[in-house]
Amino acid sequence: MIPHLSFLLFSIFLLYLIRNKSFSGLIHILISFISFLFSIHILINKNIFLYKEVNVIEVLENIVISFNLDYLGLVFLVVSNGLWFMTSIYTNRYLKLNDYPRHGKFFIFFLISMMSTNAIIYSANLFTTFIFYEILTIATYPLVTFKSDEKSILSGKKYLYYLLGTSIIFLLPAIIITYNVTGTLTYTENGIFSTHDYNLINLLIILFLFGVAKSAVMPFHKWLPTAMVAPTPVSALLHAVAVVKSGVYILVKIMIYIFGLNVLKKTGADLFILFASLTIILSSIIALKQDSIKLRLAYSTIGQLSYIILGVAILAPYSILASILHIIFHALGKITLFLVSGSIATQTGIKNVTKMDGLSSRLPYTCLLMSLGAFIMVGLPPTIGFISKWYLVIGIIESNQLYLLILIIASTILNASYYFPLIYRSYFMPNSINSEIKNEEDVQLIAPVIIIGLISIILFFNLDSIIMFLEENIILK
Amino acid sequence: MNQIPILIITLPLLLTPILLLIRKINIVYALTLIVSFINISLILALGAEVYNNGSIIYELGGWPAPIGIRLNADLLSCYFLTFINVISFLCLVSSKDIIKHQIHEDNIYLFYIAWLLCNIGFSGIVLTDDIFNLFVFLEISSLSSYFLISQANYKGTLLAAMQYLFIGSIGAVFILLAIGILYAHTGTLNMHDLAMKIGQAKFSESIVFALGLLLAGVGIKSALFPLHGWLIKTYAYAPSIVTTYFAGTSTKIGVYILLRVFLDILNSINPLEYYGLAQFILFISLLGVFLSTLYAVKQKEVKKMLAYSSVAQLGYIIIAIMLLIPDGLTASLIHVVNHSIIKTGLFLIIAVIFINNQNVIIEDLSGLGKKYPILMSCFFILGLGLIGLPITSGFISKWYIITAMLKSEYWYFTFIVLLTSFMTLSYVWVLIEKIYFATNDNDDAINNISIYQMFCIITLTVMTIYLGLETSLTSGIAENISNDFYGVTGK
Amino acid sequence: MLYVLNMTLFLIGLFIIVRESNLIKKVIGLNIFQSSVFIFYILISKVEGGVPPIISADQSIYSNPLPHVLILTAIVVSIATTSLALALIIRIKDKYGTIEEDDIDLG
Repeated sequence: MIPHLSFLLFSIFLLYLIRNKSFSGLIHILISFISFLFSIHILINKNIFLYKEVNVIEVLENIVISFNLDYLGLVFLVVSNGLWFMTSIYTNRYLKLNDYPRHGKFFIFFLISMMSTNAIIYSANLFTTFIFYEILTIATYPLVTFKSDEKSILSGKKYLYYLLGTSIIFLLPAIIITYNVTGTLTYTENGIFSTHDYNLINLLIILFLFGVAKSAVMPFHKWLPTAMVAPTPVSALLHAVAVVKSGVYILVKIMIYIFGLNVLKKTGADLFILFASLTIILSSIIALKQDSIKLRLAYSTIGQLSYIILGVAILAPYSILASILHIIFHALGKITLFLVSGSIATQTGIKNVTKMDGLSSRLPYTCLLMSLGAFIMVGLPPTIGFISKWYLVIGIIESNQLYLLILIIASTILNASYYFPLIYRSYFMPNSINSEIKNEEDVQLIAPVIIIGLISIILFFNLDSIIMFLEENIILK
Repeated sequence: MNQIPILIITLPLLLTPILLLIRKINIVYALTLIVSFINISLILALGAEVYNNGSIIYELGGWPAPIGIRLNADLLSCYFLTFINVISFLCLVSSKDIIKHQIHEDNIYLFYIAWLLCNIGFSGIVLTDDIFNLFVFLEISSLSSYFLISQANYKGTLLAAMQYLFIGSIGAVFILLAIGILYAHTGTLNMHDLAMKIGQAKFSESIVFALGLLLAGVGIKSALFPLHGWLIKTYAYAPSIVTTYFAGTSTKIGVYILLRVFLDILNSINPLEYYGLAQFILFISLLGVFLSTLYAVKQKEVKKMLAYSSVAQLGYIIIAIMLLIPDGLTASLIHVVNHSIIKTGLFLIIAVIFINNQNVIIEDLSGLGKKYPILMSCFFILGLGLIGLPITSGFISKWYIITAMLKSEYWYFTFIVLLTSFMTLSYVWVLIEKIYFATNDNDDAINNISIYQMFCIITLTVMTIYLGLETSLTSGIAENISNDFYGVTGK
Repeated sequence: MLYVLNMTLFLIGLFIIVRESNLIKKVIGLNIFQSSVFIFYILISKVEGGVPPIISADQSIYSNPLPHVLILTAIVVSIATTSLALALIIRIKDKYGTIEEDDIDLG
């Protein structure tokens, strides 16, 4: 873990030194590749690397910055680094095609963001998590405001205020209260709370839920659509994978390793279920109204994240499995969709759903991948999205909270309603595109997405090993 | 070793008349720097000794207390002494290039002499064990500060200095009268003796009156809301290097006097709890923190914005003290140092860049990100420290303050602290946005920032990050001090 | 009784500082204010039946000399403050042409 993080830290300086050179993008690809190799290395040699807590520095009494890795983290580690690598290839090309200046600075902040994400994955306690959570917010700010026009700066301000505000007002007191009640902040199996005080736990649930605003639970979700002013690679990797998944990952870890499933069973995870459900429904309704492709995808993300939270909140082994799987599957699907939308915008200038008519004749591969992404999101059978939904349903039935089935069905219908226009219009509507196609299906833009798509398909057929892996190691209840 | 406390005061004091005779600026400056540096070395040695072996007492003229005047260097004194002198030194180092532009050339040597005297005053306040001596040193530092403030040739300077003079003198006279009343009841001026005797004294309304006077006097000196008006004017209209110096020191001295008098000397009659003073000050400070943060958000002038920010941060410190629990005292002491470093850094950056401007408005910050990249990254880090984001010392202070508030009986007011932290984000971010995003078509020449100034600013920034990660210097010592005060054993 | 008069002086001085707009009058108020405190110290030093504190053979009760000494220090401080204030007033007059605080135009 430490070599991995140190490598990333060192490469920040490296990128800083070459920030004005044109090949900084290529170096970035190389760095992300090496990071991916690190994660694979850890995956293969997991027995050596897992569960070895490393304390870096004692900041306050009994509060250390320390790192550790468990299986949940391992899953997320491989997924995020792999997707980072794929996206870096896309990004390099995207920036050039869209005439963005100052590539070097972009990649530095991208690198810091991914380093923070990795550090969050490696965090062994809430304190370390908090530190890198805030660093992630600050590191993504220059990326959100990269276009430096007035709209970006205003959006960036809103983004920052939402994220930093919620973490200062809700997350920080939550952590301090937790520390004062339990005396520790370390992620521990079965949680760190020995008390079942209903009011305290529920208060903390609210504070954590709103404090970790990166998980985009309503009402503090607004930062995500606002962040869509960023260049698409930023929206794709950070706001579909790194940032939001970090948020959800943190919440899942808090639910499992800080509260502990037993405590949640006794006090009831109702608040989680309540807000997650509200978010799922409301975000889908709002997504229906969005004409901008990116905004529609953003609201879809908000809903999907709440699926993950819901899965853990149901407290059934299958639903928790569903959540973890969905962390992976949603990342794959969403990033496909975002990268595709970026390609469409770059090559045709189209950013709205209503203008997508007949796109498939111009950009066939792109639209095919987009359809795949949409299928995953809705959860249709030949795709991995179906698997996670299936397990979620089994978990709901197991835990006897059948009213949630209505929620799942309703939201799936809503999801379908706002995803299908994308497919329908591009394939079945007559071609009405007037704008010039700049580059027919640019290879560098499409290749990473094809690879991600292929992985999604391969995963569908090779799920057994993954599920066994997860069941054995994580669902140890 | 026993002689060090008196040396810290007399060494610069002896230098002062010599400097008065030497009029050459360079020699005066060099000697001032040398003495300050020697002082810091002495203070560090003193601090180490006191930390390991307990307080050091020096009796002036060999006269034993309570007849004679004593200097008592205990952990609290050394804590304050260290950071005040280090900040003074850093500001002095940075002042050389700026001073010529802001102050009339003939007065520069007097300026440095006054600076030395002010520092002597601060050191004396912190070291003395005699309450009247406290008043004398307080007046020494106040008088020199009136002079220092009046030296700028901005439009509002003289009037601001005048108003500060009046309100400062009123405060000092309040304290003087209070000392007189306490002396009348106990017959002693020595702090330790007073602490013992005041508990045995017969109750009288005049003692309550004295407490009120003390509170008012100390409140004026430490810019307690709503007695903070002088601070805003002073910070805005003084020479920028003077503002930088005072931002980190003068109000903290007020806090020291508050601690010494109310927690230490008056411990046996415990006025804060008994008369509900703590609650009163707590609520006023909560209001003050909220209002001054609000004012800071609305400000268009940078110096006034930072000044209101200082008032708010000072409010946090006072709130933490008034919780009357050991964790509160620890939190306030930690924030005293952390905030001083951050504020001094912020003001110093403004000072070295804007040498000639009187009013630095937010618009002036446009485009500085490109002109002064290193300085602006320091500004950014210090700004994050002010908000209280992790890795900076400000976060540590926030952690302790919030912990203390949650543990106290006023935990429901924690949201005010949290809310104002969020509001702090908004006014700091206005500055950051201007620095990095706005473009300045005005092709102002880039100031030559000397390497010494760069060194000072970077030192302050590094200290902010260092104290954000390795907190034994601040929280370790602060916890020791509060344990001594509250008699808590173990930990 | 004397204490009451003393406090009256205290309040008069304070009132003058706050109320007057002429700077010189304010300084006068400051002086009255400070002097009242000096008088207070001297008042408390009087010991009933005591004589001035100069040692002589046939007296045994003396007034307390310590406050007198304290007051000397405080008077020095007061003088320094007054002179600084007056110097500032001169400079203000040079710069603004008036010493009425209300009339000073900061532009």
